[in-house]
Parts: sequence; C-alpha cells; structure tokens
Amino acid sequence: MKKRFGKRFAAMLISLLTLLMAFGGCADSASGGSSTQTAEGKTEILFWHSMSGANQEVLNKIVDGFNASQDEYVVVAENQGSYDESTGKFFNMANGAGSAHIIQIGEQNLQSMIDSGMIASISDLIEKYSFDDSDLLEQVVNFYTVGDTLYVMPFNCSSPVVYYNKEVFDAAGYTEFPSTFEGISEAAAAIAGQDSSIKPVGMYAYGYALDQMVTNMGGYIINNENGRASRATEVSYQEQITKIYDWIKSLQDGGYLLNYGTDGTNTISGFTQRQIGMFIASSASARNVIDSSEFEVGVAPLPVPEGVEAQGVYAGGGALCAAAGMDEQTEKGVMAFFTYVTSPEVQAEWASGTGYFPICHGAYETDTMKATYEELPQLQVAAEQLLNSQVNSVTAGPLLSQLPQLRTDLQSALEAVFNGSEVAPAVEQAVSSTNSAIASANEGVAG
Amino acid sequence: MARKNKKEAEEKQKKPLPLWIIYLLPSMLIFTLFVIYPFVKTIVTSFFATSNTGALTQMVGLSNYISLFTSETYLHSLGTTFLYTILTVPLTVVISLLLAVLSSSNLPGMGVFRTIFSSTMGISVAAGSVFWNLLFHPTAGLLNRVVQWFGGEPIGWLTDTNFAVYSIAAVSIWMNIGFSYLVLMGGLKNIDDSHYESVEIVGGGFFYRLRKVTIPLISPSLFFVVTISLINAFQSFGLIDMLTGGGPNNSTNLMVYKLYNDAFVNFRFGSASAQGIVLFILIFLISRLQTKLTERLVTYQ
Repeated sequence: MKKRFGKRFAAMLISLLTLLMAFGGCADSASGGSSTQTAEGKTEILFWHSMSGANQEVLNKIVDGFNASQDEYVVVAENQGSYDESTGKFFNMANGAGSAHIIQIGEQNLQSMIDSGMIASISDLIEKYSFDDSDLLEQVVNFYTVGDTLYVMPFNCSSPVVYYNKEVFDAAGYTEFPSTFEGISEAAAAIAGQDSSIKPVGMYAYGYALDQMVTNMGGYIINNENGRASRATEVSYQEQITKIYDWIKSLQDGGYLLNYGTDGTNTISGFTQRQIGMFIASSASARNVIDSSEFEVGVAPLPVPEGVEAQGVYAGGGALCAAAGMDEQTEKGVMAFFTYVTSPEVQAEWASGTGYFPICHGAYETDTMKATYEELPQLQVAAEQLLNSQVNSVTAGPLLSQLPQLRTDLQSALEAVFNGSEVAPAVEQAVSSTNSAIASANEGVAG
Repeated sequence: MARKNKKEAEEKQKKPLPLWIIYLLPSMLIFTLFVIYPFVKTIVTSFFATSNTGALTQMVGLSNYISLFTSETYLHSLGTTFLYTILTVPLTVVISLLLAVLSSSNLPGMGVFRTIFSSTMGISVAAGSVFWNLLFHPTAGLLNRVVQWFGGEPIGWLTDTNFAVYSIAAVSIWMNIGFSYLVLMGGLKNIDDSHYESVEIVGGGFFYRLRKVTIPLISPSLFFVVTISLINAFQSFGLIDMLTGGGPNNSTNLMVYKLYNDAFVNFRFGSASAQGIVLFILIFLISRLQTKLTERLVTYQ
C-alpha cells in the first residue's frame, strides 16, 4: 500500500516538475519538430487574426478559398482579439505547441515583434521559396522593411481618411471637400449657420489618425528619423501635433465640434444617424460606413494646415508575420498561403469587401477592383492617398515598440483638449509620459 | 519545563507517520505552481527591466517603483481608484441592504421583486457594457434624450472628464447589487422569527428593528459583502475596458487597467509587476484595517 502511494507520488511529482520546467524554460525554446497533421494527412497551419464583424466574414471566405484550392494544407483561422492582444498572446505562447504559425499584426506591433525574435524574416523566406515580390506596393514594403529586411508579409493596408456627409456639405455650398484645416473650419461655420440639427464636425481621439496626420504634415513622429536610423529615444511630433490640436480646439471653441471620447463605433453610429457632418477614421471601415448610411458618403484625404504640402501617409493597417522555427512542411504551407492571399484576384476580393486597399499593383487592374471602384469611388480615395504618398524616411512611418503607448498618450492629450485644457500643457504631458515609457522599454532591450 | 517536555513528547508519539504530507501534497503543489511561484516571480520581475517577451534583462533595483511614484499618471490613477472605491462600495452595500430588507417579508408577489433585484447577478460585464454604452451614447443615447427633453444640454457621460468616473461607478453599482443582494438576503432569511417577535413585544418600529436586530444578526454577511466589494472595486477592469478605455484623459484609468496596458499592450513587465505589488500591498493593508475596525462589530451567532 505504502509503496504504491510512493510510486504514485513520485509520478505526480515528476509530472508537475516537468510542467514547472516547461513553464520556466519556455522563454527560450522555439517550436520546430514535426508538423501537425489532420486526419486526412493535411498539414495544419494555425492563423491568428484580429478581424471581426463584416471584415471577418470576408477573411473567412478567403481562407476557405485557399483550403479548397489545394489539398496539402489546411489553414485554421482564429480571431484572437485586437492586434495588441494577439501579439501579447503570441509572446506568451513562446512558439510552443498550439501557437500560431501566421499571426496578423498592426503596424504598431512591428518593432515589438522584431525585438521578440519570435518571427521569421520574410526576406529569407522570399528568397528560399523564390516568391515573386516585385508586384508589392513599395510604400508598404517601405514601412515593414527594417535595415534591409522585410519582416512581415503585407496583407491588409489602410489609412485614415475623412468621411463626410455629402448632402450636408453640398447644401452649405461645398461641393469639393476642403483640403486644409482652415477650409474645414470655414465649411463648419457655414454648415452651423444653416442647419442647427447637426454638428459639423464629429471626432474621437484616435491615436493612429493623429500620428498619420503628423506624417502627412512632414514631421517625424519619433527621433532618429522615425526610429529607422537607429532606435528611437524620444518623440519629435511636438510642432505638428500642436498645430493639429490648435485647430481642433478652435473648432471646439466655435461650437462646431462634438467629441465621442475614444469610441469609434459611437462616432460611426452618430455619423450614420446624421448627428455629425464629418469625422476621421480608418479606411478599413469604409464599406461598413457607406453601406449603413442612407445619404451619400464622401471620403477625402487627411487635411493639412494651409501652406503645408501633404506628404501622404505611411502604410498602416495590418500585415502577416510568420513564426520563427517552423518545420519545412509548415513553412511551405505558410508561403503557399502568402502567395494565395497576395495574389491580385484575392487582394481585389478582400479590398472590395472591406475598406482595406490592395497591396499589390496587379489587383488594381483586375475586373473585380475596377467594378468596385466604379460602384464605390470612395474606396479608391484611401488607396490613392497611399499610392500618391512620397517614399521617403518620413512616410516610412514610425518604428517603435511603445507605439501603442505613444498613441494612448496622444489620445489622452486630445481628450484633455476636448475637456477645455490648453494645448501646450496637454502636449507636454503626452511627451513626458511617452518619453519615460520609451526610456524604460529601451532599458529592457537586451544587448 | 519538564512538564512541557513531557507534553511535547506525548504529542510526538500521538502523531502517526507523516501521512499529512501525502494529504497536503497535491494542494501544496498546486498552490506552489499557481500562487506562490507567480507571486515570487512578480516580486523578482518588479526589480528588473524586461524584454517585450518578459525575459529579465537588467536589474534596475527600485527604479520601477521610483518611476511609478514620480509619475503623474500613476498617482492620478491611484487617486481615481480610491475615488471609485469610495463611490461604489458604500452605495452598493447600502442599496442592496435596503432592497433585501424591503423584499424579505413574505407578502405574496415578493418573489418577483427578489428575482428582479438579484437579476444583475446574471448579466455578464460584456453584455452590461454594451447595454449601458447605448444608453450613454452622446447623441443617440436614451439618457441624453431625457436630459434634452427636460431642456438640458446633452452630457458627455463617458467623454467628459467631470462625468466619466461617476458614470462608470453608477454602472458598477448597478452590476454589483445583484450579488450583494443575494448574500444579504441569505443572511436575512437565517434570522429566527423569535427575534422579531421580541421587538414587537417591546413595541419597536422599522428602524429600531433594523438597528437592533437585523443589522447585528446579518453582520457576518455584511462584513463579507463589504470585503468582497472593496477588493472588486480595487480590481475592476471589465467595465473600464469596454466603456471608456481609461479615458477621457485618464480620468477612468484605474490601477488594474493601467497595469494591464503596461503589461500586455506595451510589454513593460517590470513596471507592471511593480504595480501589481503595490496593488497587493494596498489591498492587503486595507483588508487588514477593515478587519481590525469591524471585528468588534461583527457578531457570530
């Protein structure tokens, strides 16, 4: 009896110790070993994404399309929450069993992913499998390339744009949407003078749009050329962001502005219910906004202050990472999937169903895309804003592990302005908060 | 001395083989794995700078703590957490106590009220947030429609720094009432009728009954509810995440929400661990203090 007990406990102890060791050691180990097979002998590829609602349905169709197109691999798509959430989960899984082979990230997660050392270099994979990358948009490749290495496969590109109620602006005599801050302020005054049932400008604090506006005005968001010459140590957006906030404050003081806090969904529903005349949001929701509005929706590029030339935007949105240390068979499958989803036809299908724009030149030439742009010319605006962007170090976009923090701080500052604070102290607070976060994160970077 | 030794010896003899180890081992192992190990790890991490995957890269001593307590945002977050706790805990307890007392009588139809009062217990934070988010909508929300109907200016329930924390607190009270109500109701139902009969003999009224009989006799449940509400208030996360995201301008950025962001959005695990330790010490101290203060007031039958 006693002996049996002893044995059992020895077994239990050993299994628990193994567990503990697995927990402790997981930080350094990478997956590898054999690929996961399904019952039919297909190789399973796990794909984590952050698409929800209507966009998720379109994505699922694309994944189904890939699975039906060949019989060697099965891609299993799972929504793992927002980009930031799934990035965190990906780090916790440490490329162990059950972790993703492909993970969709937002542009703000790029530096974190590179720092983690848990993703494969796409440049290497492109070379190894002779993937044809000549058709990819250079603006997008420009953003995701760090020190000559492309780290992710471009997939869903978006940029923030202005959405406006065409009927309201037409009625106020603005058939062309103004391209400057000053022009929008004048239009807002004209609308307010005519129609008191609608606030001319609606706005929610949206960090991504704010840093894109800085880029559009030709400013580096962070120092060391947006963190691309060497690792960024502090923010450098002060001049541009002050102008942006001053403009927003003037709208607010004139009584032309309604703020929705940080809630994008509420802003969209306010817009579709004719409570606001315009707002700024990602082009990713274009299809949704246009479909749910009963009036004609206009889409325009981001405005700039008078006398400033618009530089264009960096290629935001999402992209696909491949996990490091995959076995040969899985790696092949991942590349096959990448080839499929970056093909012109699939990109056109994806872009037409959402508001993202295609990341390869070929897609713009397809009949699907042409028909969509014919029907909904608004979708083209977002794509053109990026396509017309200059390719330089400003529009390469920021490379910073603390980009989510930077955006949160910009949002807080804007909310302070919404609530009556002066611009200078709000900006100062954001700058000091972000800078100390950058300093503390840089401390933790090994080497 | 000799007697003591003898007693010890006796005790030793009485003890069988260390079989207790065998009985305790499973729970000890599980505790070690899931409570003690993470706890120790958190303490250690709080003295380090970390890479974004959580690996400890550089010992920084107390600097994580020092930068916390010199950061305006963190101090503000501490203050907001206290304000939120003071707003939610007393009101939750008082309201649910009142509802429980009012609905504890055996009049016909009371079951309906009891179901209604405890119903928020069955609503998940996510569902509650969606529902309240609609009510709070700045332009289309019901609350602002009502305000405007009475001729007022629309209020930025979740977007005005002066209102947001109160709005969140109100939702939180509404959500927590269900649970407190159930516990207090259980306490009330345990009171023997004879106590109330004696009050009737003395001729005391409603408040006399409440003060002299009901509250003393349900004080264990009351104590439990207060402690749990307090800890919940310090750890609240779901409502904030879904309704305001810590905004506007950090006015609802409570401690746990900030911790979550620093750890899992910005991957600064060192600072986040330090915040975890501060939160632990705070909750520990407050629970201790509360136990000491209310110890005398709680009567166990």
